[in-house]
Amino acid sequence: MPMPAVSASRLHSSGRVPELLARAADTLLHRRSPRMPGSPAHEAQLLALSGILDEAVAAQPLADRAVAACGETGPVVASAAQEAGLQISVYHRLIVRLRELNRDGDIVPLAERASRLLAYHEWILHQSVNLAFTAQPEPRIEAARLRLDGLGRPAAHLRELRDEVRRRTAHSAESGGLP
Amino acid sequence: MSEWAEEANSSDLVLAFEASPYSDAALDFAVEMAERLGARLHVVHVTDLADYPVNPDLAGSTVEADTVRNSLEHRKAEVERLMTVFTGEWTYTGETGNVVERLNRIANQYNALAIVLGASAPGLGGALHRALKGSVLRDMTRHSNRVVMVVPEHSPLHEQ
Repeated sequence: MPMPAVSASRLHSSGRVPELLARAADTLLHRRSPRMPGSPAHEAQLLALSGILDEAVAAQPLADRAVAACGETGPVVASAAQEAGLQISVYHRLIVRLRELNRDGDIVPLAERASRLLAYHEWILHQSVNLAFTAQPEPRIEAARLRLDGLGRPAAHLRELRDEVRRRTAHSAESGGLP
Repeated sequence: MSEWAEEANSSDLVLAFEASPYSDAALDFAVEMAERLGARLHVVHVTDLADYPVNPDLAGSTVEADTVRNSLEHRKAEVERLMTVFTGEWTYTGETGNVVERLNRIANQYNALAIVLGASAPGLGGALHRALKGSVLRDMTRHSNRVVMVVPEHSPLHEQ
């Protein structure tokens, strides 16, 4: 599509010259500029983050069950470690995807919250297996293991964050940015 | 309650705290774990090079001592702020010297169930840190007979 011709003086008087120069510098220097809420890039980032959080929440029931299995009374079955291992890899892949996600402006703190909550999910799964299959069995470790009954409070925090990102994505779409 | 049951119910966690955002993350994860286990949490801040002035002219001077004291007080205040979310019992200890030796000593003192460590920083900074101080994680797993829980490098879990 041909670009409309715009005179230099009109650009300058409209105050767009500095903005265009800044964008050109960003492009040349591969610098990230903050994406404005409502812009297509901003919404694409929100959608990508929302997708990761949806997958993380969808994985919670199995992860919760895997942690609880590590805390069950009696000898822990080997399949508990296998299931926890699978869920660890699920969360690890999500962490890697999140790390590679472009993020600007108001998405940065959301992505950081997501990052630490996903890290917690991976960590608690890992520690559950560590306690359930410790190389140093002793009564206190057994007592600690029995207190593991699921993912805990951060699981609810992750769902709240997912809901918040969904709300923002919907709001952003309503304000006209989504294709 | 029998002695065995009392022993089984007494769970203490020792957290190695230092001046880095990775330690803040470790503290948050340790708080969550301590809440889950109903454990007491002992935060141990072992002073390292980062807490000392770089100027060699100040070595051994009262200025140096004041700087170290201020740094420790600042860290303690930071820990107190981060610990407001924790509902259980906790202690704070400021230590100087060898990190592994101090952590093991405090873990033995409380007969801790586990030691929680933050991962060292990634990249050049982390490599330099490990080169200067050695790998605390490697030494802890080698020399401690307790469960060692390593927290990956992430931001704090709780909202500030």
